[in-house]
Amino acid sequence: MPNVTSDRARGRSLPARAGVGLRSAHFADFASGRPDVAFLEVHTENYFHRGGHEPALLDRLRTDYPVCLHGVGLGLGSAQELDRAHVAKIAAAVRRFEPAVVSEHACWANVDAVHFNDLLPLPFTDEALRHLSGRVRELQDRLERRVLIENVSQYVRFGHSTMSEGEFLAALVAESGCGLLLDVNNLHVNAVNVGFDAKDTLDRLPPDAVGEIHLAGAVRREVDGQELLLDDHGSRVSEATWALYDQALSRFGPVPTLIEWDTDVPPLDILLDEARRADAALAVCHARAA
Amino acid sequence: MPGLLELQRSFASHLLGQPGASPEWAEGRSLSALAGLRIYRNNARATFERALELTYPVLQQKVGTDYFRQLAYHFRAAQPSRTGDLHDIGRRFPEFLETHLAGTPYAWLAGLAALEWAVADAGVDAGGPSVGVESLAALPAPELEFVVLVLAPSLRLLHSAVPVLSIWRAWQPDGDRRSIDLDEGSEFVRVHRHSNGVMLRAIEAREFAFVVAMAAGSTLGAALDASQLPLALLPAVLQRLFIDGVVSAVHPPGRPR
Repeated sequence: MPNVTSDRARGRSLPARAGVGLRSAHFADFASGRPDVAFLEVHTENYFHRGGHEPALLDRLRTDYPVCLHGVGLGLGSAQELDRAHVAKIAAAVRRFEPAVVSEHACWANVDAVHFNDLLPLPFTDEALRHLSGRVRELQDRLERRVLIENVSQYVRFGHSTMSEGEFLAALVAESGCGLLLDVNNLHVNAVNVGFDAKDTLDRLPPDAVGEIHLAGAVRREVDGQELLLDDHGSRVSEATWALYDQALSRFGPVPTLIEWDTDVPPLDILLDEARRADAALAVCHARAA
Repeated sequence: MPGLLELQRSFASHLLGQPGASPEWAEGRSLSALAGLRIYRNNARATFERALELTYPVLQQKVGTDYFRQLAYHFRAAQPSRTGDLHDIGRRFPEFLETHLAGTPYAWLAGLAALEWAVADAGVDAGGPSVGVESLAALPAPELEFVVLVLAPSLRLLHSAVPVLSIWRAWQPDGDRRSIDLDEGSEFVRVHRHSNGVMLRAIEAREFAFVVAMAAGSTLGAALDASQLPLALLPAVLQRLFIDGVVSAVHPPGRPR
């Protein structure tokens, strides 16, 4: 097990309520008021630089809200050398903003010095598991804290995978000591596009490991004559994803839940409306657990 | 079956190249492998374009979306992203345009891009404390010639043969978008991170040369000599530097820097 310090000892913990992703379209709302959300999540890379409006705003907001740093550019599963300069910038952001949660993705992003700036899928093999586990351990040791790892949407399935996604993520938790950020929408997208039972994946994940849930919208598109779901974070959460979220809460209990919206970002009220719906589901879950 | 590195190299070749045969490692079920790879290919291209658009909004407006995307396509082919920090994607776009557009009527766009990169890069600089002109005024007059002014780390100095700052200002959200004749003349521009944002100021050629020399660590006297700035203009030039918050520290002669 890595040398991991409790998240709670390093800052504010997340309440099992709904938060939203802080996006530039809503800076004015948060600068001028205190919208009723339980926490804020930002993309870590947007806070790599010391100056500018965003870091200054987050410095102020983190006195009112617990903050999560969600990395999108590290590509932990990339087979070649880990970008340690990038890790150092994450560490600097963690020192500055003292987040309640630090998260990354179970993905790769770069090879042979070309970075694709995307969350590219890993095969679910022993080799990929060993590699990703080692990288997660290294990151956790560097940050001296547990990191949550998020499942990504997949539009390609690898023929040589020897595990299901649920088995892979459960083994990652066991081997690295990380927690999981369960993106319920990604799970739904994958289940629809690739064709598997999402409930089976939920059942394979260790309940204590799930530290945060993401909810987002997806869009149905035709690609090369095939209809599929694209994880575009550009619409309300679908009813199918809400239903899967209820199943996730039944299995994992009340878990801090983020409403993610990255494209065609609407007025904040729409996100708050989605957050209230998540809060209602969490309230039912809290009552059940009491 | 391929190892992880071999797999990622093969995957990358499908993202960078043209659609070809379905790779042997991909298994298509309800979604074919080629359709899936096309999604990733489009995502990577769109993210790259979007990052450039955010850094170069005036250039994008001036040339239009279609031509901007052509430029982005060629730039990505020549200089693919090397980093997970989207801010850095556009770092070398100005020098790419300088080469790519050399000898064409659009060559001047490289200067506009250089200005936009300076604004973007200064915008994420940490900034820092600046000192007032009183820290210079407190020194004995005979020492002034040997004083070194430490200028803000965010300072960027640009010279363009066309009026890029005037164009940039006209195409800001509150700009008048007036047509500006490229023959109006060259501009010397000082850009730096200010407490309230990024400050851009057009300055005269000799003042520009003076600030360039100061930025290189010259003493006041040496910078005056190098720039041929008339002594009579020095007070106004220094006052602008101090009032704009460009001076981080004043090092009297003989003191450690």
